Amino acid sequence: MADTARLGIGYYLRLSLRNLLRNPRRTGITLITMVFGISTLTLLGALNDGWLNQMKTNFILSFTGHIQIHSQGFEASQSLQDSISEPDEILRYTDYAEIIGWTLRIRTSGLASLGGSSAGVQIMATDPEQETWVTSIHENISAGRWLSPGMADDLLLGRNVAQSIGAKLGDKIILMAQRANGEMVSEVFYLRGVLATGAPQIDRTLAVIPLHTAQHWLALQNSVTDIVLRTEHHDDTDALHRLLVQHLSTDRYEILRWEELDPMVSQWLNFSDAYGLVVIFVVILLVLTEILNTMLIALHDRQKELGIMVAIGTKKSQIFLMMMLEAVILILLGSLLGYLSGGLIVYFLGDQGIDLSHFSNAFQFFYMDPVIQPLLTQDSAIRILGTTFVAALIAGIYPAWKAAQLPVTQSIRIQ
Amino acid sequence: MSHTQRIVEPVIVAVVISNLIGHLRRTLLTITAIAAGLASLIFLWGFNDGLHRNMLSNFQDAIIGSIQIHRQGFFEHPRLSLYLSAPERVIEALETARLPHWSRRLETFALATSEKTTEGVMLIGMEAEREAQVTQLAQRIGNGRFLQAGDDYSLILGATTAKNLRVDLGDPIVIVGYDRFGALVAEEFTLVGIITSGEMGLDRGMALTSLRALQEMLDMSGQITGIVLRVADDRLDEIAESLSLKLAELDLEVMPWSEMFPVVQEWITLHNGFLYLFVGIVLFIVIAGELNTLWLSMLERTRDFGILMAIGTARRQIGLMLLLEAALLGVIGSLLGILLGIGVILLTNQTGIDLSVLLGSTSRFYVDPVIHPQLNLDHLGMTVISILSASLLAGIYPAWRAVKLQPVEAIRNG
Repeated sequence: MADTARLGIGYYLRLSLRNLLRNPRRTGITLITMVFGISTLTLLGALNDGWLNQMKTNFILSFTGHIQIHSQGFEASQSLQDSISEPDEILRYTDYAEIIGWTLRIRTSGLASLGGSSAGVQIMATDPEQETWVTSIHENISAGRWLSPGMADDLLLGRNVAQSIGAKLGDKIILMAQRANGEMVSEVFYLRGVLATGAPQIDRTLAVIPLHTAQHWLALQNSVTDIVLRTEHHDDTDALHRLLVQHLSTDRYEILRWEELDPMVSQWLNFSDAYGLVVIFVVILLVLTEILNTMLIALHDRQKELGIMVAIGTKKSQIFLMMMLEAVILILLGSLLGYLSGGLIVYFLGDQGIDLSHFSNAFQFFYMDPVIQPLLTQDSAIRILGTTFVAALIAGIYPAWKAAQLPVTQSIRIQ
Repeated sequence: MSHTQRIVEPVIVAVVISNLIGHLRRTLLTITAIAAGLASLIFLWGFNDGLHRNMLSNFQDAIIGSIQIHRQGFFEHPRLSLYLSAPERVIEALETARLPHWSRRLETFALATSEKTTEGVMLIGMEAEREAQVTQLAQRIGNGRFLQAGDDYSLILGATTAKNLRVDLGDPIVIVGYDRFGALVAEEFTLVGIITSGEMGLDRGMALTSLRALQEMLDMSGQITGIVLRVADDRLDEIAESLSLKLAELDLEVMPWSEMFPVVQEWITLHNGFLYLFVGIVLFIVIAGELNTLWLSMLERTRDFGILMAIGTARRQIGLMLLLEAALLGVIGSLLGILLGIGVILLTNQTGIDLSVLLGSTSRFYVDPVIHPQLNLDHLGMTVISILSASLLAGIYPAWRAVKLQPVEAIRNG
């Protein structure tokens, strides 16, 4: 008895391994359940993350960029009085490696009218070329074309704005706005393009004109209201933000990340994330039920052999240890293979994505794409592998405990 | 042969049943697995459908109602010249159709001007005393009060617009607009309420006042541009259709909310599409789980099958036996799953699932933070059928393997 108690963990490990290898079919089936469950979870998690990431990208590229620099107080006042008079001072910092595009803008509200109808618009004046480096507005034109460099009276309107004043390409449209000193001024533009992005803030309110025209028209000289930056990856945003905060005077400038520019969207992403979490949580529970099930059935198979072990003097704690080790080996192997195979599926689906467009023909709402491209993230890997591992261990304890509780005579008798 | 077949069938059923009862533990485990799969799918659909229903209902309650009736073309080009020519005939039709939840509105674009700045708004004149029949807008006023009967030139703005104009309760706001002939009109209003919904489209770009004041300002006494209706969701299409038939000669547009704001409907369709994808994958998990148990139980009984074959049981009958086992397990598991799933939904429907830990406590995107799952019979039927077929499908492989067994080897190795 003392001898068996002194047996090291290595002994049990060998024993467990031998048990697993001795019945490859049973081991295989249990393993397949785990691999299957974990790989599907990996795929689901990746679909969910891919979907969220696409919304984030679409949002950032549709209008706001990753970071905007304004004169301190502009975000609240939206007034031309709070403009940046020396943008060049900040543009010195645009050679940071994280920044892959920047543009200067003037934003102010105004009124667009054609004939008798008019509509309130958000005027955005930007550099025709620089803008294309930062956002994808120029790719979302449903009719006409993007601003042409050198054409001073080009105008683009959001789809709904154009519709509500009944404007067609080539129409002469009058924009009215207020200068920083309060003087109301109007200017003639020609509609050259209609923007259809699916983002309500663009389609319903936007009017795009060239930056130089606006600077002249609104008597702003070289001033702008926004400096918009785009980073290489979403994750670079915080690092760049820290860098800029260090170098620029926060008394003079406000440096805002995309989450702060449109809290609504970041709440929307949180909401979608919460929804996804609930769904994945339910699926995790289901996968665990299946794993526990298979382990219990496999245990049933072995009652006789375990009974004999008890009969020849193996202690219950030893049987428990052996069974737990078997479970751990299975779970480790299952998680690894499961994550790898899930990752492989994600990799092959990667660029092509899963096309949901036949569920809904023309949706373009809230920056969502009809094609979901799954994305593996560290967070979801930790979440999925962590929870399945812990829970599968718990699931392993029960069969191991059951095995240790078996009455000897009964187990040997079972065929 | 046909004779023996008929005699053998009941025997097989009896064998199947005694097999299932004889291995009660394994039977129960398999049934549990199927039931758990089905119940979790039913729950997921319930969660999804509950969320959508909540969203749709809040969306309609916010401001647009279920159905709006305007002159043909007004929704596309909201011009005052397209006012509703015979509102009393529309209301008469509504009353005869027993649709009491209606309210009249007059809408036009205008500029709201404070001492500091200007912003373009959609100016809506509402019947203060009837608005509660169609929307819950009054509950979205976080600051000040909603319109009241007898209000004169009172105004309600969204929080964002009020912030942009830098105005507060009691401040004067000049509204500048055009009347239906294109002449400029301006009037001073007093800010009495601010909408603080946190929702896009409500907090910005709108100004509300009483119908009477707006009619006076625009010199359109007794005229309106539209009638808003609130009806039960399940009767919406039917009502919209019968109304547009009934009002056919008046040249009106009878628009359900989904026609005015198709994006919301599309968002739900897309979300459902996403869930179909999830359900498809979960189905695979269920198939795999059941395949495992059936296969293991088949392997365990290899010797039995060998003996059965040796004493003259046809292979076809052994295959049939295993398929029948799978079918029985599937049916019982599904029944249990339906009960469990419905039970969970009924329970969570009562208590609600509180997402406020993740989302904060205010409603977002017209979804309340506490979600009450709901049963949608279409989705329930589809899910049950797919789980049943999945469990039958899972029986095919083990049955096929059993059919291929060689009796002698089966007895020796099993």
